[in-house]
Amino acid sequence: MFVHFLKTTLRKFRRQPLFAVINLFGLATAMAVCFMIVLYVHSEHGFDRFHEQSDNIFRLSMHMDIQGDLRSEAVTSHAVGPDLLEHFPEVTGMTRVAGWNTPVNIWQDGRYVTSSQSMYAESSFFDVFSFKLLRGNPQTALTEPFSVVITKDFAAELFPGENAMGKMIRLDNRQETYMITGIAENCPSNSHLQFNLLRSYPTLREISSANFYEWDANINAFTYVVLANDADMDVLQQKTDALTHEKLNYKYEGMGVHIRLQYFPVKDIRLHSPFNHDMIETGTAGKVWVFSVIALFVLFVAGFNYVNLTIARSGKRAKEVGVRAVLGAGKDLLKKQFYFESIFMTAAGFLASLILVEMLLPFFNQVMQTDLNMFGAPWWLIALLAVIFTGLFGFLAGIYPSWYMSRFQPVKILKGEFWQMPGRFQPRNMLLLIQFVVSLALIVSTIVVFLQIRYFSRMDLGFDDKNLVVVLADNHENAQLFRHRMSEYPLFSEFTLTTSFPGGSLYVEGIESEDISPGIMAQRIWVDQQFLQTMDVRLDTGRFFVADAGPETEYVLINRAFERKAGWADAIGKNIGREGRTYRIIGVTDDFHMQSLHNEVEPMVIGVLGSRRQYAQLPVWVMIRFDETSSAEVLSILQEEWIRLFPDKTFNYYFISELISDLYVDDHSFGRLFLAFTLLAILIALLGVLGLSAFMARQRQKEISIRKVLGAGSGSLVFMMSAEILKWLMIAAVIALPLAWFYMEKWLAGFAYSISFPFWTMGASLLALLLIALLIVTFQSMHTIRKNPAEVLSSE
Amino acid sequence: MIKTVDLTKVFRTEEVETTALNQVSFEIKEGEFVAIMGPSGCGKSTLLNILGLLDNPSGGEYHFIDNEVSNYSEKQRANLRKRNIGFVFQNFNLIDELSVFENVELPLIYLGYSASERRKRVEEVLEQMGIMHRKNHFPLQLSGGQQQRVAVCRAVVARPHIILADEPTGNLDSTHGDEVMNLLEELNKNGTTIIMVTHSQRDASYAQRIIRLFDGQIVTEDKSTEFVLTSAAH
Repeated sequence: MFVHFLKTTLRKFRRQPLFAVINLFGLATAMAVCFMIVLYVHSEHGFDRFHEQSDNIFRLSMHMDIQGDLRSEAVTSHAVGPDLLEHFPEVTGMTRVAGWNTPVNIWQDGRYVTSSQSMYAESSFFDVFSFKLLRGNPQTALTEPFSVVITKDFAAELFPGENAMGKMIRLDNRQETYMITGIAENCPSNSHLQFNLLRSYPTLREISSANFYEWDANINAFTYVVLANDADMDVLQQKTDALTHEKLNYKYEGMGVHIRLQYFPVKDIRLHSPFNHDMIETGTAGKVWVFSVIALFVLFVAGFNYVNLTIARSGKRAKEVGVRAVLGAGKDLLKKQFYFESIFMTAAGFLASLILVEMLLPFFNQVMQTDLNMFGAPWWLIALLAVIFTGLFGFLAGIYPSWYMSRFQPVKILKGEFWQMPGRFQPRNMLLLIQFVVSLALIVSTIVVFLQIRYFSRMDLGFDDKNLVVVLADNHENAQLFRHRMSEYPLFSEFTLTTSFPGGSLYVEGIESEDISPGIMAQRIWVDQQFLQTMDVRLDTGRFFVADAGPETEYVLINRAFERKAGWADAIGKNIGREGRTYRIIGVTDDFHMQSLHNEVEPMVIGVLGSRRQYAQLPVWVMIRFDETSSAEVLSILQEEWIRLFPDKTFNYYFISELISDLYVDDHSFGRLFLAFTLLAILIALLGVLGLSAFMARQRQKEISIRKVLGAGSGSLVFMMSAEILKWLMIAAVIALPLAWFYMEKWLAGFAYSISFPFWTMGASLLALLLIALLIVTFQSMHTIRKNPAEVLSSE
Repeated sequence: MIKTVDLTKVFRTEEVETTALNQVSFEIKEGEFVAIMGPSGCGKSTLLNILGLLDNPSGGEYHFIDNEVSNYSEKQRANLRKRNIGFVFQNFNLIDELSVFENVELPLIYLGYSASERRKRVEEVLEQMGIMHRKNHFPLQLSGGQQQRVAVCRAVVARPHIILADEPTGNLDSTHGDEVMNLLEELNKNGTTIIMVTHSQRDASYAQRIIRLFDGQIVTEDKSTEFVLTSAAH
C-alpha cells in the first residue's frame, strides 16, 4: 500500500510540476524563515548558560542618583567585590574583570598583532566561570603579576605551529614581559564575555594607579559574584544597601547623591541587560519577541496558503476519489492516502527548507550580527522542527480533504458533480486581507527607510569626509613630529592637529557668558591653524587662528549652533568662559556634523592647541587629507613611519569615512532587515493570491462556462475573477497606508535631519502590488477561461 | 441473488422533495443478464446506485446475497461491494495517473492481495481481454474502446458475482460498443450476473430480461427478445 501511495504521489507531482514547485517553494521559504528564527531565539536564550553555576552567577550593577540625574552602569569600583565576599556568607565566590575596552598590541620582532579582546581577569575567573583551560592550572594561572592566558586560536596566531605555553611576550612595547601561563579554549560565541587574552589582575596593580580600596574610585570593573543556592535575594539586597551606606553613601548625605548596588543574573545579560558598555549587544529580548511573533505569523500564513492551494487543487481529484471509493477503498484508506500525500509533500518542503536555511543563514547572520549555524543547533531541536513542520502542515493540508471524505457520496462524484467547496469562507478572505495589509505597510516603510538612508549618505555634513585619516599621537610634540615626517610624502596634502574628530569621542563642558544664563553645554575642541582648511569647513564670520601662541590662546571660535543657542546676532567680540578663564570670540564657523545625523549639531567652542594646556588630559590626533588612492597604501605608509618614529608606541588610526558609515550601521541593518521581511511578506501574500485565485477558478468554473456560452469575452471574465481580490486589496490599502504613514512619521521623527514623508510611496506600493496580483489572477484564471465550456458543462 | 421489496428513495432539499424510486420490487437470480431501461430522470441511476451498494434506500428492503442491507453503514456496504460487485461506467472512470496495469490492479490492492498474486491475476485478465500489449500505457493514450475494455478488466479482476454496468457503450461508436457488449455476454455465459442500465435498444437486446422504469416505478418486466419483437412490430 505504501508503494502505491508513493507512486501516486510522485505521479501527481510530475503531472503538475510548476504548481507543485511554486507551492513547495512558498512552504519551504516559510519553514526556512521559521527555522532561522528558531535557531536565533534558541541561541539568544542560550547565552551564558554553559557555565556550571550559571543560575547562581550575578553581576553587580551600580545605580546612581546624582541630583536627580539617574544613571545605571554595569560596573563597580574594584573594592566592592572583595568586601561583599568578606561580609556576606551568601556570596560564595567572586571574580572581577577590567580593561576590556582597550585593545593591546603584542610585539614580536618589531611587528605586532592586535588583540581587541583583551582584559584583566582575577585568578578566581576560572572558578566562577566554566571557560575551559586546555593547558595550565586554572587555580594559579592568573595569580602572579605579568602572567597571561590566551585562547587556542590566538596562541596559534602568535606562535604558529609552536607550543605557546611558558613563552614570554611584550604588550604595547612596554618594558614588562608577560609569561603565558595558560591556553584557554576559544570563547564560545554565546558568552557575554569575549576575550582572547587575559592578563592577571595583580598586573593591574603593578602598572596602573587604580584605587583598589574605595567604593567610589575607579568605577570600571565588572564584578561577578556566585550566590549560595539558598540565598534570599531580598535579605541580601537589604544587607547590600546597608553596606553601601556604610562604605559610600554616608559621604554624600545632603548632597543629593545616592548610590545603590544591585545583583543582575548573568544568564539574563544578553536578553535583558539595560546597561551600556558590554562587549556584545545586550537587551535583545525585544528583538527576540518581535522575531518570534514574525515566525509564528509567517508559519501561520504560509501554512494557510499552502493548505488553501492544496485543497483548491484537490477538487481535481474528485473523480479519482470516487473511483477508488467504488472499487472498495474505505474511507479510512482514502484518508490515509490524503494524509500520506500531504505529509510527503511537506516533508519534501522541509528538506528544501534545510537547503534554503543553509543558503540564507550567512545573510541572516550578517544582518542580525549573529553567529548561527544550522548544525550548531541541538539534534532534538531540528528533529522537533521536522516533526512540527512536516506533521503540522501535512496534517492541516490533509485534514480538509479527509474531512470532506467523511461526508462524501461516491455516486455524485462519479456522475461528474464537482467537489463542492463551501461557498463563503470568511477566514480565507480575512487572511488575504491581513497579508495585503502587512505587505503594503512593509513596502511603504521599506521605501521610506531607504529614502532616509539615501538622504543621509547624500547630505552635506559641513565638511568633506572623503580621504581623511586620523592618527593618535600621545602629545603635542609627537603629533608635530609625525606631521612633519608625513609632510614629506606628496600623497598627503593637508595636515592638522585636533583633540576631536567626526565620529570620535567628544568632550562636553558647560560654557558661561555674561549675557547667557544658565550657560550652554558645548563640545570643546582644540585644533591648530590648519583645521578649517584640512576638514574643509566653511568660516561664517570673523577669522580663524593665525598662530598657536601669544594672544591667540585667549581667543576661541564658536559654531553657528552655539550662536543660535545663545541668541546672538553677532557673536564676534563677545567673551565666554569656563572656570574663571575667559576667551574672546573671534569667529563663527558653519555647522559641521561631529556626530551622526540622528543628533542635531551641538554648540561647539574651538580653541587653539598651543602653549596653554587646557587640553592636557585630551589625546591629540594628527588629521591628514590624502590624495585619491587606496586606503591600504595610505595605511602602510602611516604605519611604517609610525613604527620608525615611535617604536614603543601603539599605532592607532581611523579613516573618517569609515567612522561616519559606522554611525549608520544600525540604520543600514534595520533597512536590510526591513527589506528582507518585505520581500518575504510579498512572496507570502502572492502565494496567497495564487491560492485564492486557484480556489476561485475552480469554484466558479461552471459559472464561467455558462457565461462563456452566453457570450462573455475573456476580458470581462478576467475582470470578474479579479474583482474579488482587488476588493480585498483596496480594503487593505485603507488600513495599511495610514498605518504605515503613522509609524514612519514616528520613525523619521527620531532623526534630527530627515526627509518629509513621501506620499507617493503609498500610490506606488499599491500600484505595484495591484499589478502583480492582477497578473497572477489573470494567469490563473486564463487557464479556466480557456477551457471548452462544452466539456465543463457536460461533466457537470 | 438480489431482491427488493417496496424500495423507495426520496431526495430532500430545503424546499423540494423528489421521489426518485417509488416502491420498486423485483428479483434477479444468479446468472441473469438484466437491462434496466427508461427515459432520463426515471430513477435508473438511483436504482443502480442502491443495487451497487453506493447508496442506501429511504425505505423498503434490499436483500443482497441473503443479507438485508438497506440499513448497512457505508463501511459495511464498502466491504460487501468490493468483494461482490464490479462496476463499468459510461465514462470509463479510469485514473489518469495510473497505467493500465495499475488501474486493473487497484481492486486487488484494496482487497489486500499480495503483489505476486495481483500480477498473476491482472496479467491473466489482460490477456483474456486482449490488451496485454497495452499494460504499461496510460488511459489518455488509449482509444475509447480500449479504455472501456480496461474498465471491464478492472471490473472482473476480483471475480465478482455481479457486474453493474451504467451505459457501458454510451461513449463508444457502434463497433467498439458491440465489442464491449460481447465481452459482457461472454462473462454472463461464464456465470456472472450482469445488471445494465442503458438507453440503447441494441444493447438491451443482449439481456435476457428488461426492467422498464417510469417516474420511479416499474412499468413492465419482460423478456428482451419479446420486447424487441413487439417494438419491431410497431
